[in-house]
Amino acid sequence: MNMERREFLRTTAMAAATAVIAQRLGAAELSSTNPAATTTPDGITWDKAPCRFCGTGCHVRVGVRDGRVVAIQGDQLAEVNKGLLCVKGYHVGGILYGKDRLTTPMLRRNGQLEPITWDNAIDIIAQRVMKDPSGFAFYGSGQWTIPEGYAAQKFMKGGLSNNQIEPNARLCMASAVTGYLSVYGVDEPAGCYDDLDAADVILLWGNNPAEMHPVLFSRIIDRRTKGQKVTLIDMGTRRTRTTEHADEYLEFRPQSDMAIANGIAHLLLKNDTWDKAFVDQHCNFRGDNQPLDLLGKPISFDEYRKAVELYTPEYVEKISGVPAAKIRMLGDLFARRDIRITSLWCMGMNQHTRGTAINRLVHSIHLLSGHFGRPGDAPTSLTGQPSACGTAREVGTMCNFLPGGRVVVNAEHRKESEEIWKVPAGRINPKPGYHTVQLFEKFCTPSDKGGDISTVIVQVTNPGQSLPNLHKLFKAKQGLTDKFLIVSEVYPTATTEIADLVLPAALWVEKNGIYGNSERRTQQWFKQVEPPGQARPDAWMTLALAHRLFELGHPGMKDRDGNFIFTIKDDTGKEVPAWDFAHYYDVNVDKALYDEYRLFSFYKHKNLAPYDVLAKAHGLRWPVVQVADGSWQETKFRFTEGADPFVAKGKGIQFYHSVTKDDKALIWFCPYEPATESPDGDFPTWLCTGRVLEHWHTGTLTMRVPQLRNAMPNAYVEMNPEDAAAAGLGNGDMAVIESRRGKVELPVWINGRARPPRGTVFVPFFDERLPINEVTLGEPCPISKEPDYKKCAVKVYRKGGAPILPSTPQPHS
Amino acid sequence: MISEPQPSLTGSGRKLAVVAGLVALTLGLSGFFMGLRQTHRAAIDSRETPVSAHAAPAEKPSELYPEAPRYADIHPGILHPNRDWAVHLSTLTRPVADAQFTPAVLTSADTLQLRATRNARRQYDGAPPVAPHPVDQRSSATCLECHGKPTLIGKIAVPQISHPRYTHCIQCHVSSTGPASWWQNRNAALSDGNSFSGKLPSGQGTRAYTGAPPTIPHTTWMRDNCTSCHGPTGTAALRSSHPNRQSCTQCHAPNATLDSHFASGLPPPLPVADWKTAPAETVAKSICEHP
Repeated sequence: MNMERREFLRTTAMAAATAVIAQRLGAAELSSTNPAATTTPDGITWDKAPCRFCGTGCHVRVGVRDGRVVAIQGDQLAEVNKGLLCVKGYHVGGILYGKDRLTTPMLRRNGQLEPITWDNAIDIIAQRVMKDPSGFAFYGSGQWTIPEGYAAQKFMKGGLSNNQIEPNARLCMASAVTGYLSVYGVDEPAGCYDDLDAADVILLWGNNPAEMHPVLFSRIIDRRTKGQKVTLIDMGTRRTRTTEHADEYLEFRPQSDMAIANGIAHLLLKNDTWDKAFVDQHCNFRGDNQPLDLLGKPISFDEYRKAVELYTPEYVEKISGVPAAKIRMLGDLFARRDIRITSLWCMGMNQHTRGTAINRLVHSIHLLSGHFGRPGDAPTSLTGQPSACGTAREVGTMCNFLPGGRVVVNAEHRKESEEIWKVPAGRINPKPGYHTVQLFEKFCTPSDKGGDISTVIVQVTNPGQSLPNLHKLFKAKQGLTDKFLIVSEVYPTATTEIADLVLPAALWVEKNGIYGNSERRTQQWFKQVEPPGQARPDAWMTLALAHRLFELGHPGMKDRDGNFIFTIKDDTGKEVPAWDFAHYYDVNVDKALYDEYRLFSFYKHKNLAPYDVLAKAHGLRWPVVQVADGSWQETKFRFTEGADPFVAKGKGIQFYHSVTKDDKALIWFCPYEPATESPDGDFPTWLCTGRVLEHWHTGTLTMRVPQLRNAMPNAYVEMNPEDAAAAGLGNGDMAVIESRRGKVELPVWINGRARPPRGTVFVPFFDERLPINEVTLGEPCPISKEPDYKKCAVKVYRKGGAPILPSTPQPHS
Repeated sequence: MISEPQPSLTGSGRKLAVVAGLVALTLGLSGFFMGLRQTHRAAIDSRETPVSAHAAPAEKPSELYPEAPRYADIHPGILHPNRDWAVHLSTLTRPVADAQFTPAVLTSADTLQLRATRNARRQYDGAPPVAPHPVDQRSSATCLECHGKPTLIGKIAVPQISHPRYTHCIQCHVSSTGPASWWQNRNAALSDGNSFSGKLPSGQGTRAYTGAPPTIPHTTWMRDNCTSCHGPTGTAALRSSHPNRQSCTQCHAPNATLDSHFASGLPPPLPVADWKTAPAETVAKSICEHP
């Protein structure tokens, strides 16, 4: 036996042995088949929770011993991740234990934050609200749990009659929302992650899941290890880790994704390979109004055909830089009925000055080609926050939405909401509030100059780092003595840096929670450890504030019977003063809020499972309906007969919330339009921003985890080697990135993890010491109001003198 | 007493070893120089001995190409986490036969030290270990060049991947020294403090009676290959004393309560022998054919 073979055999024997263990154990029904908490002989109690980070919604099992998280495992029973996590998920336990956790409320006096009592803090907020109720704004995010977001939503719209509530999600997936609404008449993807297992071709539109959604990416590429074939086509503006695994890499010029989508539509029509039966039965055509709006105007098929005629492969090549032959390849793929195609996208298409348009176009080519509604045939947007879908979109914590897909401008919707909330008719204000960019503009403008937002309370997000054009939209608040910023946080951040009142918050498994992930999956978890010091859950803060206002006689805090709007009762029907923290955990407040919120979910057929059912599952994908045997059935593929309980028998596919009320979706034409700001003589380089694998969002949690911070200790600017050479820059040199709005100095990384083409640079935004958002443009999509973080014009030059980097975070006062 | 048969290297095996060694050497060298080119400037910053001092003017290559320094001329200081590449590349070997394997004789202090090092690379027992060296950020192929097979570089035992089905290495394993070598020397203490205290390994498994084989004291989830840790290039303190025995679970039972994750309805892990040639049928066939 030669040694290669011997080694081979030994490895296989060991592998077989491991497999045998699995089989042997698989035969027995173990306690862990049930997601309830279990305790292992080493004294560790394991309970389920969704991961705290991105929108994938992996389940982890959290190991707790002596009141502290001591280990994490990927949850094998969770369909989302099947036991696998990414490096952030494996280290998620560390986010609770950074040494600078905020543990006490603090008020800024003479420039310094000084400890105060909770009672005092709630009083101060209540006084601000009483003083200027319409100038009070609530800013949260897709990191709000569903009950937290729902409490804030009800407090603002159903209590204060104030629509100034926005989530960070406006900066993140508002364009995906307007895309779904304008195509299907109802938000959120029809498909789910199961499509990734069934697709023959996966198309990535300006998306880098290898870093941003690693577990989903592995779900795709691991199919190859299992001997399956899946073709990965990466369409992007730079080479990334994703490109490494892609079969095709189509590098397009920023903004030209619209031309590519139109080019595919052109080929489908020109070659007569569009799916006539599908389109006849299920689609109408639409074009833009001027000015642009959400629902546009009907156009005929001939008008549509004429509009896409311009987008020949050669014309698309001219705009995008992608060779005409590759555009034809895409056209040929969509022409095939024998393969399944899934499109994935995230911020590349959403943070786009024409975000709504490009979202519509990608849905449209799937509809035009009939690549819709079968497993593996789906246009699916991904989200970047753990509950962007659950809290921001479904609870509707935006200035124009009410829960369950309703809008404030619709009288019927207001009436239904007032009914569920039991508040007097007319309580809900019909006028939408400011969208995020406007809201912070108004907050940063002096009151006597029209800045009519005077107080902002921020929960679960970090606008001081994540807003675009930070000088204008955030830092300008400093020095405005009539403005008051309240921030609920777990660590000092760029936002607490200039906050007037800081509230210490409980984080992740330090409280009960419910998240909703990218595939319509609602996931519940229980509190597993105590928060440090006086840190408390965000939902409690909202309840306490509401009750203080109730005590002060604010009429909005009473329902139509004169009771407190957040009256919470225990099983015996006795009222529990949950607003008093001593009694907050006397009852499950999450359950009370969620089961009330659930009533909103039926209108748009987004039926949620009851709390107690969710508690027993690893998340359930809505619509969840109870079937004859009493069990609760989730929905994998919406609008598809057999999978979706709301599709009428014999319909096959039914878009039952159709804009045109005829069960048809809309195929849109939107023209390619250049970006608002493109490189020119003064600022000759494109700047793109985004995330990295190791850090999540603004890095306030992951930068506190040694393993993650050591792996990626600071932001950098990724440059093309030729550009770098031309600028006299080498690896590790300090470069200045300057736009019309600001400049940041960053170390250069050449031939690193990703490689941008000439004339473009990339900078991640996680590093609070190197805030690239002082440079970004933030020009919003006119329909979704989501700003563009992916494109603006900068110049890049060598910084004089020795490279200097801050080795520790700047001190926070 | 019947002694266990000692495998020996056959002629063809020796030839293969030489070829494999050469291939590894070539790959290693070219990989090294590719990396070097990337970090050229960083190298200049911290190098004590300039390359030019060793380059004979007559041999100066065309200006189009940067001068490649001789291996010996590179100061080991700049290669810190991988310094053994520089020192021991000439002795780069891949132990593939048990004959090369001698169980380490360890004092209890050694064992403690080795375990401490192992623990330091994990947030908790069961966490994916961090890489104690810079990681090539562009491709998993680079990782597998060393970690795809059990490898020895000098005295450093390079652990073999225990889960070859998963091919996107940096999804779970990140460097503890920043993303690339240019970052080193500038960030001594990268993290600013965290009091997370992870679960430690449970120690040895239980024994039914004195002399009985111990049970497996950890989960086996996602791990297809016991030798990754317990084989010849595993952590010295964890190496098997009897590597010739190949059917581990014949004697070592998993702890069902501890390894609480296996549940009915889940497929068992795929048996995979080699990350490059993965077809499960082939592997299964090989297992069946094994005498």
